[in-house]
Amino acid sequence: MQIKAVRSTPHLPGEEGLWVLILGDMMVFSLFFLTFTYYRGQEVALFAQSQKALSQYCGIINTVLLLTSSWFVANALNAARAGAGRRAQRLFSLAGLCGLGFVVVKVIEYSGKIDAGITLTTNDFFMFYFMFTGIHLVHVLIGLAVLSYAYHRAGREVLRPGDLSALECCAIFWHLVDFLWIVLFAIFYLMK
Amino acid sequence: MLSTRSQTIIIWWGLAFILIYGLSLGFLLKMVPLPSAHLSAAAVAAFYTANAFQVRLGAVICSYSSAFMVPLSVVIYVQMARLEKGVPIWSILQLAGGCMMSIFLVLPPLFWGVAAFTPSRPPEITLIMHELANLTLTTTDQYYIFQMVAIAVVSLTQKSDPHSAFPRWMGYFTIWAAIMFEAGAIAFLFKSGPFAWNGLFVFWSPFSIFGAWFFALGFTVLRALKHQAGLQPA
Repeated sequence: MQIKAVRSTPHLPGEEGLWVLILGDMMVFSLFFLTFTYYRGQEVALFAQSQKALSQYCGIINTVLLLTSSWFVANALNAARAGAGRRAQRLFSLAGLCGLGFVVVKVIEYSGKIDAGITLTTNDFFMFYFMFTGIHLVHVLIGLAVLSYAYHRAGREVLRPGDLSALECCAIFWHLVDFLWIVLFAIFYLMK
Repeated sequence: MLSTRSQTIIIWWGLAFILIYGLSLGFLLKMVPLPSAHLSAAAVAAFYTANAFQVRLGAVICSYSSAFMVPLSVVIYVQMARLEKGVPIWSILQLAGGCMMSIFLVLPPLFWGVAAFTPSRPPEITLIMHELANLTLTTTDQYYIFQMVAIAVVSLTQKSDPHSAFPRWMGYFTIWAAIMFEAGAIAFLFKSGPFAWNGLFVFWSPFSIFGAWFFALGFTVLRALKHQAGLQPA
């Protein structure tokens, strides 16, 4: 009933301050994308050639993993709002598993590149590839810590509005991680 | 009662010094942005020969003002400690990080000053001092991270306090700034492009975010001090 009272007013998910971090991060990633597009314009052939060395499968698997994890997180939040803390916990851990899967695929992908002699300094395409996906990977790792916090927080006996707001913050961050990957996937793996 | 007046003066002191530091970095030392990492030893030596006096003057002014992190960190310590219970462990970590960071702000002007001190020496020697200065400026973020993590933790875990100097958005802003700083150390790997020491993500983005963060923190603390001063008996 307390929950309903909160939801009946116009509602910004999470808390206002969090959006400083979210919008700030999106601004920086937009700058990444603009820079990438600019450099790509200078060396279209090299970028197209280098793109062929990326594994589309890894990219697609990772995209599916993150989208699925976001779906779990959204459902976890709904479960928490309905007062089903246990179910929310289960869904948060499934989301975390997908996130771990993402990290594993990324590590396999990186080591494959390094074995093939492709590194950060090979050319501009791979500089951007390793740097931007690397910075994103840091976000995924932070996101996994955030999800385990959400798991812990959803385990409380009774979920109060404060708990729900904290869970929303966690969910927003994870959706951000997912969203940034979708854009990275598009520019590195798909952009023709 | 806390000496809000002294704290206010100390904050303004820090804000004035960062401004002086930034201005002499740009106008005297001419290091905004840093020159290209592809310059030859001869070109670097020629720069220091041509600008010997103003680089040394810039080094003097920057050396005076580079400790701007110390007064700010001390007041932030006081402001954080009033929100913590028991031993104010995060406040102490913040103070240690902030004071250590001061060292990395004085070193680059010191090295540039040395480079310009005797520019007639063999160019390769000047080059190494120049490179040392530039890489010190861009790749040393570790102490900031300690300071920022501590500020973020206290901002986000504080019990509600109407006179807190750390609104929650400041906690999130600080986390974001800390993440953006991490790109700095990558400058060891590149000589051109956005990750070189004069590049978008190693120079422009960390430096503008740092400036914005420093002033935002200074002004939220000043605002809180004004509130706190109102509480004290006249």
